[in-house]
Amino acid sequence: MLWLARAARRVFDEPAARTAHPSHGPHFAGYLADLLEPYGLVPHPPAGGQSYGEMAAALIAGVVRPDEPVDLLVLAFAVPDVRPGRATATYLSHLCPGSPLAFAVCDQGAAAGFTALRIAQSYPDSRRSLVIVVEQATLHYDLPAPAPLPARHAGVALLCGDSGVARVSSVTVERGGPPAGDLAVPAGQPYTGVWWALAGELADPTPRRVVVADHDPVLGYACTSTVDFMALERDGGGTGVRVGLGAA
Amino acid sequence: MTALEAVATYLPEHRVPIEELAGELDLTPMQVRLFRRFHKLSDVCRAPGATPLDLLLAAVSNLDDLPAVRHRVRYVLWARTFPVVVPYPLNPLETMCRLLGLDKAVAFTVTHHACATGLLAIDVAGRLLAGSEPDALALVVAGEKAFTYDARVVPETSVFGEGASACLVRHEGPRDRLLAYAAGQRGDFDDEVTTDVGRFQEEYQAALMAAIRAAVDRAGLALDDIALVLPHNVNVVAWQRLCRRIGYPVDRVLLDNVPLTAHVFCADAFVNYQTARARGLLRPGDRYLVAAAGAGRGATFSAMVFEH
Repeated sequence: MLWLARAARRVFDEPAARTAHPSHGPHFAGYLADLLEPYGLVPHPPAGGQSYGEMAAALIAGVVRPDEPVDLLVLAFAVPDVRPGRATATYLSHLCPGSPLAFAVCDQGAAAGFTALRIAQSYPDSRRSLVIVVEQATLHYDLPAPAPLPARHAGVALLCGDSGVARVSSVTVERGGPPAGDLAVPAGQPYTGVWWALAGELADPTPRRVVVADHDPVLGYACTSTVDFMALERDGGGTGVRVGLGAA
Repeated sequence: MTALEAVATYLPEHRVPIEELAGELDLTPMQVRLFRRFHKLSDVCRAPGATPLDLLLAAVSNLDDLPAVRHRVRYVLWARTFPVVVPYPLNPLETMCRLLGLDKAVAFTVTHHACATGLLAIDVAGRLLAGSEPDALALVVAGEKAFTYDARVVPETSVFGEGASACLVRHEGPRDRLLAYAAGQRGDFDDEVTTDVGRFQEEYQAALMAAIRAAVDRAGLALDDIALVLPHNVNVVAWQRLCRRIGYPVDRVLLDNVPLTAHVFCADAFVNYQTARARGLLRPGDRYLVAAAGAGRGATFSAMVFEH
């Protein structure tokens, strides 16, 4: 059984610091040109944009304490970032306490965050899992097909594990129409919006059931996750990590 | 216990000698000679004009079992070396699913283990299937274009060739049962952490050996119990050295495809599996090991032990 222990969410107003590195521009420009040429697209000047490595590093620092080793890290994204050839999750494994098994899921639009959570459920031996959903708003070419594009760089990290404040009772990813959910999703965050809203729910300790739901309009995925906030007590240290006492 | 149900591959007929790649890879004549004589690299397969979708479809079309079991496929995973291979939001995986009548399946890409992602995808597929009906399947595909410099050459190590693979995975099954998986990640090789590229070369052997030993240990076996190793096809000399250090006979490492295909991204394991089957190198009950190292701003070293 997977529990949600803590979350961090953040908007990143500035471009990635890495975009100022002297080696970044030429390498990124070359990669972009080769990526786009077969599709008849022309790159815009490779300025700005965010790096999921930098964004996720900040989220990890905000949600994982050094004495909390993480066993699994799943990074979910849809829009490419400014370091498109990088094994970013492997870098994050190096930064994250516990040096977790870390990998990324993508090419699934808004469903990727749900798939990441579903994957976290499939590692029952992991004491702590970190699901990180990120989106960045700068695309360096015109969209070759209709798709959502974020209005801002944003990321959400969900620290999950064998204890926490809310039980992740189910995660469903299937093809279908828009499912009903309980959360008001902020505009301009097509891929992190529901997770942003779920992270906000953690401030309210009231026992309740929250249905997290999203729909990908391009790929036709209908995704839901049922999250049960339990009656809880602070753990002995009173440090913010709380243990579920409700019936499992 | 995760098991492979069927494996198919596609290698383009068009072969290019590495000498002809010297220009696009910025290789000196000396580096080309080293690749050919020392690393035993010779040709790569290329499919000019083919898209990533074409490569994946070609591999899946060789999966004879698929039409009969299409309705049982719950997940489709693309194991990918490079996280971004087409402009957003183009999605060859989704198009492939639609063309194959798999549009009810849940499809996504797994990445960030570079060329070791193929092994990760098998493990993830098996885990996801644990929550499905017993006969449910996952289709794991691999295959990429050598579309940019980073996707054409691993400096001082190997060259990439084009090709693809398709593999049906079950949560439980009688064929090629997965006994153990181990992955060691080295984010400290990321260029954000170090600019010393020599460190990767120095520590490569030890890191890959550690993954191999971990997988064999987790399978409850000793290295001597491994009948065959299916390597990644980066080069021959790296495997000769590793075998000397780890104490495993190099003639039980299937290196036949290194000169024929070079390094086919995440598809190496499956290309070598097909060769092993075709040559009768796997007998029922044999335990074999699949190993891969993925390097690309960070490195992942992975090994899996199967029972055939």
